[in-house]
Amino acid sequence: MNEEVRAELVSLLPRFRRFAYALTGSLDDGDDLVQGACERALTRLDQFEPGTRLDSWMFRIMKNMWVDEKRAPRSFREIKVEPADLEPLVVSDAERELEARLSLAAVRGVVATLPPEQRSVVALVCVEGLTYREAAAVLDIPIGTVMSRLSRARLAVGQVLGGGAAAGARVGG
Amino acid sequence: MNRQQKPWVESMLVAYVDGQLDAAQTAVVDDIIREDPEARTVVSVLRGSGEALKVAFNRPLQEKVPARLLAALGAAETGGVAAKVVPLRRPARSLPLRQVLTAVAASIAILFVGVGIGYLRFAPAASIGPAGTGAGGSGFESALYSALQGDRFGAAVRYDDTAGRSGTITVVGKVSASFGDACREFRHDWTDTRGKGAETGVACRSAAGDWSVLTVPQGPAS
Repeated sequence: MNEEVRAELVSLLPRFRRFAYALTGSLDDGDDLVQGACERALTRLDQFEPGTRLDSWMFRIMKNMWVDEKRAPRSFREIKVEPADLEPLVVSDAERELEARLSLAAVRGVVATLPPEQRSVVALVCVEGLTYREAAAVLDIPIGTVMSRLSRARLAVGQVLGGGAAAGARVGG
Repeated sequence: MNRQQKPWVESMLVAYVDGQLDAAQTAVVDDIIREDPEARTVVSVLRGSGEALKVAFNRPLQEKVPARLLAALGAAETGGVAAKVVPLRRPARSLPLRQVLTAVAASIAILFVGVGIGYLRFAPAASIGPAGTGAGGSGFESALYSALQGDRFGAAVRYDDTAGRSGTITVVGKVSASFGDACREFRHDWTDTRGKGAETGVACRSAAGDWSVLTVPQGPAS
């Protein structure tokens, strides 16, 4: 039983890394978080309820560890520009591709400045694709709170994208 | 029409955009955004940011899991396990990116066009192929195309165009692209009426056989 869970954890590692990247804003800090969460999870495998979602269980562990880390004096670094942002990617339209890549870097920059409770919701819903209900369960908050945190975060991100006349005007000023 | 308090809140619109409302609630919001331009703007902002966020953190899905994480789960030594570590979902290929582009291209361009274009010294063409190197193609493009097609690392292809520019293209190596397409790094040494310089770029071959060029800045633009 535990071996099955362990194998499933291994197969989920890419998604855990993505989630942690979104939370911490950094690939390195994200991997530190994933590593710590994996080690913790292995000591608590008996607490995992078979039949429930393993990814949600791990998201909860990671989110709690991240919040604890942030409270500690030496917390994870808040914002970091990844040199990877300028690495090559397959393109179909060079200029627009570059713009899109820079805009995604800008999106990550905005997420890194969001309050932690908004970042958690963004990472679960927008990045990992959980439903509002699933995210509310992971975070132990009402769905209405998920919605309001999400709308604030999405509008903040939307401003940096300039995705609309009103937002564009605010950004351009 | 006497405009009273707006009949919507942002959190309702985000749930609408994300498909989290039931049919009745969705119908209500459909009516609202039909009537209210401000609601439509907010919906478009929420939709654009949602699509960008969906792909903004995808890099871990496109690369190998670091060994230390496998080790943390006791899976490091067994090569078979490591080989099975692939993204559960397909990495973001062109489709999600295209969605992002479609959703926000115009507004992004306003913000980033200055950054993007400055580096693309000789590369106005997004795509280079035999068809695109006819009358309108510059010497640079033809030379780049034949250098890429030749695919001999270290061999320089020279060009000299009618606009007073000349230079060489040298394919310097492969670039590991996450999507399995053939990508090459090339070096462009150029001379024009104002001086000379060098830059490196990356080009990737599409299924159709032509090359998409992305010129990566090597240093501050002169």
